[in-house]
Amino acid sequence: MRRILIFLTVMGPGLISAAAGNDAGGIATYTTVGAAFGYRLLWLLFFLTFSLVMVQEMAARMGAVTGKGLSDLIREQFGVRWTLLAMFSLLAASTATAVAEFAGIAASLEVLTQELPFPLHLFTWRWVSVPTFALLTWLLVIKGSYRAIERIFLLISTAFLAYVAAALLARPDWGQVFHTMFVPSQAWYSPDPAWSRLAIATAGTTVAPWMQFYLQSSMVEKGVTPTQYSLARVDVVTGALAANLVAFFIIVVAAVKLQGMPVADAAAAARALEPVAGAQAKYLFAFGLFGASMLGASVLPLSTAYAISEAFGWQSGVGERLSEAPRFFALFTLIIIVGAGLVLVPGVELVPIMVFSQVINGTLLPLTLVFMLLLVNNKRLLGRYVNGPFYNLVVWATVALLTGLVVLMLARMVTG
Amino acid sequence: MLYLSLLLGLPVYDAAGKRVGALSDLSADFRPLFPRVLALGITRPGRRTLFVPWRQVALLDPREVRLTVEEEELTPVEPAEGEGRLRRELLDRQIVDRHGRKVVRVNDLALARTDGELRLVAVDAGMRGMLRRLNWEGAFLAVAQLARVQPADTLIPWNYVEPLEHLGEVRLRVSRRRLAELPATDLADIIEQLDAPGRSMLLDTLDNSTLAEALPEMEQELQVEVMESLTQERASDILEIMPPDEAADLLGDLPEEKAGDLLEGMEREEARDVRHLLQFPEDSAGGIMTTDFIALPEQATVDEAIRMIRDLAPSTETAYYLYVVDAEQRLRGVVSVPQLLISPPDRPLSELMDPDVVRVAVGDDQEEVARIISRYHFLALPVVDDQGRLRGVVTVDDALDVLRQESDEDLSRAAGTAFEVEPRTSPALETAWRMPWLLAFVALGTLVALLAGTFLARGHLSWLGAAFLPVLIGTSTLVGTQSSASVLRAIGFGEPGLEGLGRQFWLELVSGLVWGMVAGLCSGAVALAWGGPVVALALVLALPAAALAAVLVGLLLPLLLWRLRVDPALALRPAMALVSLVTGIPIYLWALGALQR
Repeated sequence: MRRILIFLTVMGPGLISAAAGNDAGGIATYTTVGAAFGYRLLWLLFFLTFSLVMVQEMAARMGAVTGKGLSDLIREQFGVRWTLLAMFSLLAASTATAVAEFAGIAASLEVLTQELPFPLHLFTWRWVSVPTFALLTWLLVIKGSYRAIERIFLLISTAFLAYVAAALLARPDWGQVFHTMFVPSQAWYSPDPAWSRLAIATAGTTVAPWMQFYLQSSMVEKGVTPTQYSLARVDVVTGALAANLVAFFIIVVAAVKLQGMPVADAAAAARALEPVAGAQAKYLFAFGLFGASMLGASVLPLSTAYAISEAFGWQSGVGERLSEAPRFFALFTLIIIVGAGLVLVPGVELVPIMVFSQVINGTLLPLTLVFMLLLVNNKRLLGRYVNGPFYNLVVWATVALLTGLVVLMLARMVTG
Repeated sequence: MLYLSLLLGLPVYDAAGKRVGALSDLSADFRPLFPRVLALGITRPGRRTLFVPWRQVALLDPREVRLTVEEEELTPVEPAEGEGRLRRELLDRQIVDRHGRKVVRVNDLALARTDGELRLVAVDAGMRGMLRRLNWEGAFLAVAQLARVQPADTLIPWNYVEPLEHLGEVRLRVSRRRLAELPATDLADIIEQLDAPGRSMLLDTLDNSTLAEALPEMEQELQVEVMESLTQERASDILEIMPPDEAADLLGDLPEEKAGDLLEGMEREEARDVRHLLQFPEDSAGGIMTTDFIALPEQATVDEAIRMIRDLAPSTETAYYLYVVDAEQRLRGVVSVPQLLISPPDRPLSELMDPDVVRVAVGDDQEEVARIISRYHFLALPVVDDQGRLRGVVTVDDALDVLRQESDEDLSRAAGTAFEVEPRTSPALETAWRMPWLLAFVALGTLVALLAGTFLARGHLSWLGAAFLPVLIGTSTLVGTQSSASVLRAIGFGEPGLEGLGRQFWLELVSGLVWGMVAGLCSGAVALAWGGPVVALALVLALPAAALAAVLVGLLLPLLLWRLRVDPALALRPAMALVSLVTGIPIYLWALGALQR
């Protein structure tokens, strides 16, 4: 009984960070990957499942053993210069992801409000919906009621479980799915410039940098000790596995239903859910997307502002008065304003910008991973809790793979 | 002062000039109040870190480290009990206050040489420490100088700091005992350098009388901040302890309502004194005088007077003079304390007093009062009302404050007009001078007209949309000019410091946005009533955006003009109008176009 109680108190961060992994950027990326390349990038998702489980587990372990957040450790071990680099890249990646969340809000409201009467109908315009919901998110977090709201959004975003049913009902050729996924072949690679971009986006949205900062801080905040840690590990591992399982089904169903079609807005992406919801698919999709985007939009700016404040030792916390934690509030506000503002740039297509934000995330991910690897192997910090050789192998391989993909992408951009 | 960040990585040479390695850490004995550096950690490529004892160091400056012996003769030491490494165990650590709240991080460590020893004297927790680590300090200082701001240097003396080894945190230790021993001016300095959480923690540890002494030594703004952060009860108690004139000064700076509440909380008698002082204008004799003085009737004897001083003097600023008054409290004469001491005990005061007292009226200007005190070398000067009744005393230290304050004002007035603006007298010259602005304005205005014309002709812009163009221009210009003016004021008069400027920026941005929204809603309502919902929505969206853009430009423009050596007072308005043409209009036209689609 006591073990269950402890488990319940320890549980949560892993689930939330994993669910937030399947946010607007995630859904958009997986759908686009399925539509553009069918099953051909599933091998990457399979490999990334190991990376995700291990990276999340590393973050949780560091939090439990050292009692310090990730940016705390980066600052203390690597000094001001490296911290500045790490924090700038975190800020860039998080702002990009915030763009995706607000684009997700705009896209879902476009669908949800299109048949509603006049005042609500205005929300089909992103120039109305995005500023309104940006302000709302800001208020939710500042007024501190967001813990409860977080649960609600988490619940709404479980609408995406419909993808599992949709994939089963769409009757894909499972033999072909697993064959393409596990048997190395020419099909894994494509000279198409979109291939390296989408591969990076997949990695960036599966293993997002900000999630590691969030997870490690949550462990510290909850006071998880090394002895309770095995329980926390269950939370982290199941969360990561569940998230990637959903991602797998999204790609499969998108491959079946959307193959070869351009995915520019929510209505197009939603067609993947038609097997399970028929004509109502777009509402189901928009509903889930709304929940996931709001969850991301409220967790992400907050956790990034925390991480950066921690690196520079600034007072932080939504419970503080503005005058006591001015930089924390400024950061938090800035991420929301810039994130929401970029969605309003004219001519921006919502789904492509969500995918693009994940490319940025994926490009900056290796840096965070290298910091984490160097820290988690530091005997002075973790003692007997340092990484084993298998962990190191897989995560370093992830870094190498991603770096390779980024180089490939840049090379193609230069050569046109 | 040496900074650890500037020392780390320096090459270390032995006595023969051979390079031994690079400085990587300092090990220090943390038991003394200011830790003493015992050894230098030197990294050598491919070998273990070597710790060289301090006595084998010949030279340590921000360029290089030299040892007294050759490499082979070095006697390496192992860091022992009670020793810590500055880089590994202190640098970059979180600083928390006594309640565990985060304050800031250890950005750098300041070391000082005393008697041939190197000691850790302070923790640099400020922006400058961070910039120094990044090698950006020089560049930043240059920019700061251009913008005429003084970057804050936040050094926390080591004796207020307590390293907690097991947590890897550094705790601010501000013990009551140590702080109370500090002179009030030093204490005020420390309070000024701390940020809000550090300050509130420190204030908690001070007793009321220490704080009452330190308060008058702080800058006026800080005094107000401190008073507002205290509980009302405590603030009232502290006001009771302060001399009535200082209490009145402080209350005069607070918002009226707050001051009233605090007065309510004070003891009746003290509150009456302070209220009495508050009724005089701040810069009059009545405003700077204190009501703590000794007044005796004419028939009192020397003996009674001395006993009176014994009873009262400790709480008065003015024990040197004793004033003689009649039954109506009218000032009759003055007796000095030395005079009393050499007179027989039973003599009445009326026989030895000096009836010719130099006095000032309550309404006299404070500068006049200060001049009299300094001219005659008085220690105090009595203040009387229009019936000649003694109301208070201005002491020499109050007068000194006045003189300093006046000279500061003169200086800042000079700073505000530091610009060399040549007077132009001929109308031709004046016209010629304004011509470029006028031409630029006409050119850009024509451009906007062409743009609007094209939009009209192609049907992207309705006549209703065009009708609201002047609202756009007007709002942008107004908002932008106002925010420029506030920045100009900040640059011109006094040094706001980086934080002050930041707060100003924030304030302007918010108020600009609110202005834009109000303007947008008002004109939007008009447009809606006129039957143009799209124009209305465009106005609601574009006006705040245009106002925000105008504020941003308005904030940066004066700094730019300053750099270009153009007189901002003259160039600001036209420049602002130009900018509003190129920001406000396109935003509006774009919003209209986007909405129509």
